[in-house]
Amino acid sequence: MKGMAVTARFEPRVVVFACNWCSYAGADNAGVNRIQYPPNSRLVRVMCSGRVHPAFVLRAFELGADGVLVSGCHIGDCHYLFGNESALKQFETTKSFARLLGIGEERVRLEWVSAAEGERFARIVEEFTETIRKAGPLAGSTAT
Amino acid sequence: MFDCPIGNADLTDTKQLLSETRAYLCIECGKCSGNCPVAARAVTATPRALVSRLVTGGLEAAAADYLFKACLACGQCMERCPSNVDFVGFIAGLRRLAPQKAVSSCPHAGVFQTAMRLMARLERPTGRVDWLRGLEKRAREDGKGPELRFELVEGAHGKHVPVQKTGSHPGEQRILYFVGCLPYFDAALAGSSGVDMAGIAVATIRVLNAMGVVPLVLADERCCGHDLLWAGDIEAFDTLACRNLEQLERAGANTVVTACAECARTLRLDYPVRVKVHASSTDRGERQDDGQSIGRRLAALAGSKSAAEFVHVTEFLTRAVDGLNAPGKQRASGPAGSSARRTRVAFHDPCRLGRHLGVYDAPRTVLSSLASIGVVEMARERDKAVCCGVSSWLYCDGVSKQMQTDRLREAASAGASVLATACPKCKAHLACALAELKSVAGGGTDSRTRGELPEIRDIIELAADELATR
Ligand code: SF4
Ligand code: SF4
Ligand code: FES
Repeated sequence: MKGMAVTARFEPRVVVFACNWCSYAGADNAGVNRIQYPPNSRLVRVMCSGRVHPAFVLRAFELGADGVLVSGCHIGDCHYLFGNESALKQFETTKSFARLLGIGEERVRLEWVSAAEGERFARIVEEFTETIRKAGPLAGSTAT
Repeated sequence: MFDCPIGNADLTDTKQLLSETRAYLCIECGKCSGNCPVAARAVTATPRALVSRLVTGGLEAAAADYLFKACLACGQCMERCPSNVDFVGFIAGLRRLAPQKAVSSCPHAGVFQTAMRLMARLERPTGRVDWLRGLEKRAREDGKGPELRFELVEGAHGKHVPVQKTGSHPGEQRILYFVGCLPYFDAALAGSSGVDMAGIAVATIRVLNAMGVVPLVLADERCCGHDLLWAGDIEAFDTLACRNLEQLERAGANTVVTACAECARTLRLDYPVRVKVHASSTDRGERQDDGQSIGRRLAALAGSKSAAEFVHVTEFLTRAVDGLNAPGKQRASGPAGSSARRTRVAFHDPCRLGRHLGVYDAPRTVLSSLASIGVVEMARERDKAVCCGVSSWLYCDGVSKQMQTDRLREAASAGASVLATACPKCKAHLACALAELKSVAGGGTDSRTRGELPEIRDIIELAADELATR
């Protein structure tokens, strides 16, 4: 874009882990219903939110994410019965690591989204993206 | 002690690696393989074969070897080698050179190494201070002694940390407690496996306080870099070394005490080597980078005046036994002295403290000075001690578990009811195997796994417990 003044606006990079059975379908539902939400997120499908070890979240930060959202089925709805309960437990460790490293708790979030909740998925991602936008880039200056 | 030159030069190729570690002189006798605890259980991988794989097949082939990821850098092989091959330096150098890095693939999914790389990279104020405040709270509540006293030293982001001037240091010494990665181990292990890591830090500060030392603690301390160095990530290691050394310099610490065998090795042996490497390449004018690069910052530390001494807390205690009110003085007269009532404790030598640093006596001196403890030795002790089975959170499998199980049984058959160690990771790994064995023993019938397995403690926790009973 030669000749155009490019004002570097911070666009947060958000990684969303979504479980195959509910949240991913929820994201799909948002798409099918043409619900708009910010394009900042990269979706990673996992079989269950219980699979999202704190290491995955940290690795996302290492690879350049500014915020990480973990989503799964509502409690009681997990395809593997109690996978999301284990996600809840692991997420405590994830938060501790985020605090210790100075990443900050606001950059990680855990949410339950069912397959029918396209609207809810879009709103969560929108709101989280804005939170991260306010928090700013995690490391250095990122203009893209 | 072996001062392996893992960071000695800017390692560039296989040839240099083979000659610097004297691997060229290997006569293929196989003694290393016979002494390697990993090779003993995974017979297709041996140190000797790894060297020849590199020579014949190159880096790619060597990096595909099981031992490339599974070697513990424990140094047992080196105890036997007639050609004095520095295998530990060899494995570290190999991981540095290999095109595909040794990826942390233990059941913790690489969480610690990722956190360590983030500690090198992120410039943000960390949450360490809150964790340290948590220790104070815990100590207040456990009723095992007076309030913890330590003095926080501001980091680069010091605005969050009011420095209290409460420090009282005997003589001219400014003693700093280097905590290491305990907060991270605590975060990951306390919930899932119930292994107490924070207790090591509480105990260390308590014992130092009892000796009249109010240690300095860095508010923005970073991982010492041990695990990344042994995984071959020299750039991240240099960054961590630089950030820690600059802070230690600012703190004016002249004695740095740690309760971690790995921190002790890294700070004492590897930091000075990296400073020297960067200083000499700066002197030779080889540096093209600007003044703010990590290399230059490390080089600038070469002239550092404080030149702190790095000691493991057991060494610090042993030295102070005579001069200060250290545990152990009342031994002869104490009522707990009767041998029948003493807890029988075996000491597991951590590789980094034992074979790497040659510190064998200090922990034993500390243990035997505790009136409530009777020391027993296991069949394999001191330079023959076997590793806890995992190194640098790099790799863990059935071989590791077998090593740990064997070690626990060895302690049990030596009659120990407590297996003490002096490294947080040894504690974590042995405790993990213990929990597994116990869960099997719950329903199992194997008499060797029932009841008699020892409890795993850190030596400094035992010392703090004894202080509490005084
Ligand atoms: S350092 Fe230890 S694990 Fe590695 S080859 Fe030597 S004896 Fe085996
Ligand atoms: S003990 Fe030394 S000389 Fe013998 S095979 Fe091993 S490395 Fe080679
Ligand atoms: S399958 Fe959706 S949370 Fe387990």
